[in-house]
Amino acid sequence: MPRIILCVSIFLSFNLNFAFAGGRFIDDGQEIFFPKELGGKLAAYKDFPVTWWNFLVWDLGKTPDSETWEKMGELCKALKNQKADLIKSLECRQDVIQYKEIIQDWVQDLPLRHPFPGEEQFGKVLKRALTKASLPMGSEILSLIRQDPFESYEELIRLSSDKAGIQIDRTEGFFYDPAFKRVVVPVQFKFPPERDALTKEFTLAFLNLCKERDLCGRWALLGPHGSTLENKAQIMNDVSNVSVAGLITMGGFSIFLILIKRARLLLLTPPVLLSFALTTLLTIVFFSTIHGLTMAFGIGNIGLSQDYGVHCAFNRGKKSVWKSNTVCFFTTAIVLFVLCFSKTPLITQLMFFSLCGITIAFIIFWAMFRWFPHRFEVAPFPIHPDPSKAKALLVAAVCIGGICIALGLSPNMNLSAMDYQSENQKMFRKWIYDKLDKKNLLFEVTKSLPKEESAGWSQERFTWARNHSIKAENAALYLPDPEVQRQNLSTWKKFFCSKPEGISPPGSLERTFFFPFFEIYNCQSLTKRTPVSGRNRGYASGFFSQDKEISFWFPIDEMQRQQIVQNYPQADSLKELSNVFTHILIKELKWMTPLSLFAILALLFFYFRRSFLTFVTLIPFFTAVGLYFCSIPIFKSEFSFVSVIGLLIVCGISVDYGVFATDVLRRREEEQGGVWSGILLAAITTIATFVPLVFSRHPVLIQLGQTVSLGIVGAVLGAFWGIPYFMKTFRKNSSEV
Amino acid sequence: MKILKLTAIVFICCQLIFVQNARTGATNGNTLSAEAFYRKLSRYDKFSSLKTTFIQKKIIPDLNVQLEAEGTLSVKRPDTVVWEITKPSELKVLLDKNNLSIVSETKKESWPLEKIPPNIKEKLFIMKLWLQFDPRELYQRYTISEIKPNRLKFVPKEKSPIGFSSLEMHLHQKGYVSKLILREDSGDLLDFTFSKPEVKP
Repeated sequence: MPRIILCVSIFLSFNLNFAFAGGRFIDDGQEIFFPKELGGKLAAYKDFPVTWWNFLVWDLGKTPDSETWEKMGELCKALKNQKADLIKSLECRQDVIQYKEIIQDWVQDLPLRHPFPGEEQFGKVLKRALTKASLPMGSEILSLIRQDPFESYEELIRLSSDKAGIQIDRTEGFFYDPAFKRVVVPVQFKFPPERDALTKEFTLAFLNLCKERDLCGRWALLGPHGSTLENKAQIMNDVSNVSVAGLITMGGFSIFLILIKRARLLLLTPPVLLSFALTTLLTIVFFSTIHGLTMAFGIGNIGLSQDYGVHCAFNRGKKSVWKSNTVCFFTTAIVLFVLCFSKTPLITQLMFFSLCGITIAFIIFWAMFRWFPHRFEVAPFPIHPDPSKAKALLVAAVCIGGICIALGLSPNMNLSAMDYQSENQKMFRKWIYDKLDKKNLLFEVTKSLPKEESAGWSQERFTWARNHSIKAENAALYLPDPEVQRQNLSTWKKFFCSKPEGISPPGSLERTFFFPFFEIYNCQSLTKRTPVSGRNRGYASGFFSQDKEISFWFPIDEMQRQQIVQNYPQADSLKELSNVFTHILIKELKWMTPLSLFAILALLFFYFRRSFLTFVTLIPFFTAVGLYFCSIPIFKSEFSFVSVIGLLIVCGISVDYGVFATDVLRRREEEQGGVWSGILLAAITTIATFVPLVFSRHPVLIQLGQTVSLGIVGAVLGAFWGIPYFMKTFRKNSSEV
Repeated sequence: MKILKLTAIVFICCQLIFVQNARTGATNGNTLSAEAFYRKLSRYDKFSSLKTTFIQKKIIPDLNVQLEAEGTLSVKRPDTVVWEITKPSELKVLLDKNNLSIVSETKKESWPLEKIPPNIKEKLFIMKLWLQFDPRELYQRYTISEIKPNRLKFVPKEKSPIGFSSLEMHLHQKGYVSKLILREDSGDLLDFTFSKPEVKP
């Protein structure tokens, strides 16, 4: 049964499922990698606009002259204008105009942040502002002075610039590294990273503007939005390429089957498709959503069920076929069932999906061959294994070599295995990492509290950090606690209500010129003012999201980090959060793997009733795993948790081959061609399905393709060269078999 | 502080334009020749330092207000300028070869010129131009005409980077610049009145 056809059919089935599900049931977030509580923290972190900073980095290729700097200024201005709906902040130069949106809130809240400076000082402030205003200046700057004679915007600009957190000097106003002739522009988006279509819109606009001005060599967008876009784009590219390759291979294989007069095998596709569709629906019903990775990896597990159909198709009329199939089903189901108890929601969902899938497919195949066997049976190929000592030694060498290499491996079990980085991204990330001063941050997220408590929550953390000389950022950086706000406000109210015309009588130059200021600062307006939390203020709203608030610490060393963790146990770091997945996975594999193997052994022993047969059945499993591990140093590939999932698929398939081969040999059946035909054809189609993945660029697809392809080759070696030789040898030495 | 920096530099630039260029004579209403221009400003031909007081007025038609300030301008060749406002409040802008400093009642700030954004640096370039007084460069940048006796009009030949649509210079009968009137692109009018300068050769 060509799995290539299966691929295409499943691809079509995908579309049906998507059409049915309307997309709203498909989950592509990362929260599913973590236990619920921790996944919620990660999701919460990404919800805050203050975390939506990225770095736009590009190489100029030459030392910039004044014309180049001017062009870059124009590029920034054009980009801001064109994509104003996407960009909250684009820190090209230290330009006060870019803060226009938040300055008004900031100026209005001056009476909350600071007490009234006194009548004399207030008079001096107005005079200073008038002095400046008398100089030549643009209308926007003049307008700013008119509404903010206290120049409070300077503090806002300093705080906003610090947020970028990059240790590169400015040249001509830009963050510029002369050693690399590299420019960095911090950019904060108005949308979360998942909305990659908007990120793409931004990058396309940047690229066009850059090309028009002949400014860009290599470039990249570094940060959560850039990373999400790159990964999704690469997966889509790879899936298209792999689908095309798959379609071509499928077409060719279908023609091959027709030419060798075994086209009936094509009829084994629909059951698996149907099973996939039903399983998707079941998973959505049970979990309310289904993750894209579940569908992507789950296909492989459901595809195992095709072995049952192929085995039946080539072994017409043999009653023992379904005994073997049943054992194969249960050995696979055991592994999936054990893994269902993982604390990682993705693995639980994936195993549930796979278990349901193969169960449904198994039932459908059984029904098909029970009631319509003649429609699906095909003549086997005249294949018989030709065991020899040399081949058996090779099999043994692969097993032993694989074990030795596996013992020396350090698997990469963290989420970085899922991360695709282009060459530009890799290079720029490595360069910028040393220049960030906020890379070891800790954060804490809280649910919504009443306004008074909310300010207290952030204020308490900020004050504690300041008292311990630890840098912190939250809403309290911009606003004092409500009591202090109230006190400050009262001093302003006292002056403006008691001496409304003391400083600037109506008709005076000050009253006329600073009219926008006096519109906000008068007795009536100030009386209506109340303390604020920052949630609705443009300069601090980034720390709030829906009903949650976030606070950050930036420890400079381990001692500070420990202090923070001791005082605020709820504080997390992104690095540690991603390590949680690793720790949980390793801990679980330590008991799940031996338990699964033991359960398989027990089941096989129960079936075969002979220790030797039980172990011989596992030869394809050991050669499959062994060949994969032997290939790691040769191909310099990485062993990650993606490989672990691939090995799960391989485990199921290899044990199936082992059961089929052992069964047919122990029964000493004369007609063995059906079993070997089934194993070989199933292996060929599986390999043909997964090999195209090796030529993609995303690490997830490459690793999955490598693991399964090599594993199947190893399993076939074990089935054809290992089992027959050891069975033959054992029979010579024992009359019991 | 960026605002202050920008406006201070622009303003000094403007001052140096008229301080160093009151030289040539001109035929009334017609474009001045280079020689005539140089003759008009011969008082400023060679000096090592210069000091003068000024009164500046800014007229903002949109608001119907007039802002006034007083202060002192000091120039020390080849490239040091101090623009010091004393009323309504104190503000001093210092520009030398490598740095720009701004000192107010409450703070002092200083920046190396290389760190300053190009649009501001361009204005500094013009200022230096006037400091070094390259008559050919000035003559190339402006169309100069004498609209009335001792009243010169400077019109930028290209769009001026300092944002002035025109400059008008009044010369005292004793040959020094007594007034400079600038019209900003926004429509605001800047009127600078200067006293007789103390010039040291």
